[in-house]
Amino acid sequence: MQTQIYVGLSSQLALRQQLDVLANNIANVNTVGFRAESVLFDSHLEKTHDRQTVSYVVDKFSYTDRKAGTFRETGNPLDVAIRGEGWLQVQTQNGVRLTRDGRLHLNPEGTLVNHAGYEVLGVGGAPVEIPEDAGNLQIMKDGTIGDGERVFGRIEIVRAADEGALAHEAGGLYVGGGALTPAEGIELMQGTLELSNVNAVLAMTQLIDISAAYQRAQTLVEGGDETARNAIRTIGRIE
Amino acid sequence: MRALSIAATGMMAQQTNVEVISNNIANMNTTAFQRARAEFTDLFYETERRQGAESTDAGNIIPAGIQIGLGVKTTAVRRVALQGSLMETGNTFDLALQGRGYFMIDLPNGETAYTRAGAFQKSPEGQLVTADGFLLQPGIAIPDNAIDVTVNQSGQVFATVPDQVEPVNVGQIQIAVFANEIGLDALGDNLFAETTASGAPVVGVPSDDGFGKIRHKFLESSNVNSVQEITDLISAQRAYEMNSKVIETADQMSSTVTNMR
Repeated sequence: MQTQIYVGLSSQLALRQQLDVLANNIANVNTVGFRAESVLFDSHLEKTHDRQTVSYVVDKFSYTDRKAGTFRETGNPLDVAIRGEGWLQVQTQNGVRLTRDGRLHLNPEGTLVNHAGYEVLGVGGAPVEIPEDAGNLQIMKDGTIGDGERVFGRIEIVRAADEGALAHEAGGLYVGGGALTPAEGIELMQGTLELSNVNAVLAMTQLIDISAAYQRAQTLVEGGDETARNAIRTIGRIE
Repeated sequence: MRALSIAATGMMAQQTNVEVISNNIANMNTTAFQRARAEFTDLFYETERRQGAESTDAGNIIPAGIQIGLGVKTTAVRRVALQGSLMETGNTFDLALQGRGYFMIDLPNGETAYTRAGAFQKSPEGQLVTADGFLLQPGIAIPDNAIDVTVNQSGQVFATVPDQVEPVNVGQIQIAVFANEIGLDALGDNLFAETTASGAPVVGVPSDDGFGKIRHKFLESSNVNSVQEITDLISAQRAYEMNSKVIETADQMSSTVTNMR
């Protein structure tokens, strides 16, 4: 008798989880290089004593939507977008991290860094240094950075062996994913940024869906409660 | 419910975004104003089930875990140091910078400030000063009897005085560049101060390698693009609405539970 309530409850817990993930996607709808997360649910089957199968909902894992976000032209020479599946590498205190957020800056020493001040790695894992007397910076499609006369270095774009295993970290960074190899045929676009790939329309409809599904699960829980109450009442009368 | 606080971070971020955009629009006609842009990144992630952990003692590995992000934060309000368009004014003491560089200004407290707004005037002592009367560095003294003043691309100032055929060289304007000019601290009144983020100023002569040129009788307009600001404003407003919708949904779900018998 309690099963009905617990099935409804498992669904409600999963829906709350889904709402949290969706809320984070919507909060990051204007975050450059952000990629939406989704939760995958699975059914958990259990046999009851009378050999019936009951199926509960469990949240199995969250995964990242790898579709590219829309590109927006900003005209800022230090903004780059990656066309294709590739990543920029930044050196954090905990090791190399991957990012698609191409809002680059220069630090006081003239080193190319990301918005958090982490060095952006060039070919061979070395940071890219821009001399003080550099003219207008130009970043070529292959990541070569120069001022038209001189070349200062090349930003390396890499690919991870197992992109599915990449885990999100704060600040648009990703970690894990196995061995990194230089990406072939991936282009950098200067003066452009990749916007968040959160689909606003889809997010809004999901929001409505979650709310409705939550209420349906509630009805299920209430139904279970009703049945239990009736049973108690009826059995009481027989005695 | 985490969704409530997550959506709240989203609303706060979009509010900052609107504030930055409104300041850009307000300064659309400010000389040499550089538009700012609010930059966002995602906050921390809570890992509920870690990828890479072993799911059985046979060594099976969980390929992807459950990660729940906790919202968004504003990391920077970044000035976009793009050249504004040059506007001819015809004023003798209007100077615009084309390319990198900042004019150096003596503040009353003895410190040096930096500006790209080259709308200078002549002080009673004949020196070049800003609209607030702060001296341009290095000091340029214009002779009292000067009929006309010209400034060339390299910042040399020439005064035409009566009874002399050749204009007299009365000084050399120098400009400063920074390794990371967007790290300068905005003081208001079009002035900026050096910070550890900007690096130390490198002073040089205009038109040299890595330094901008001086355009006499021109002013640099703001680099605000009204179309871009308005579209940004629309997208910020919609994002704000979407986040409030999440709060509404989370609230509805909570009330469903509260109304449970």
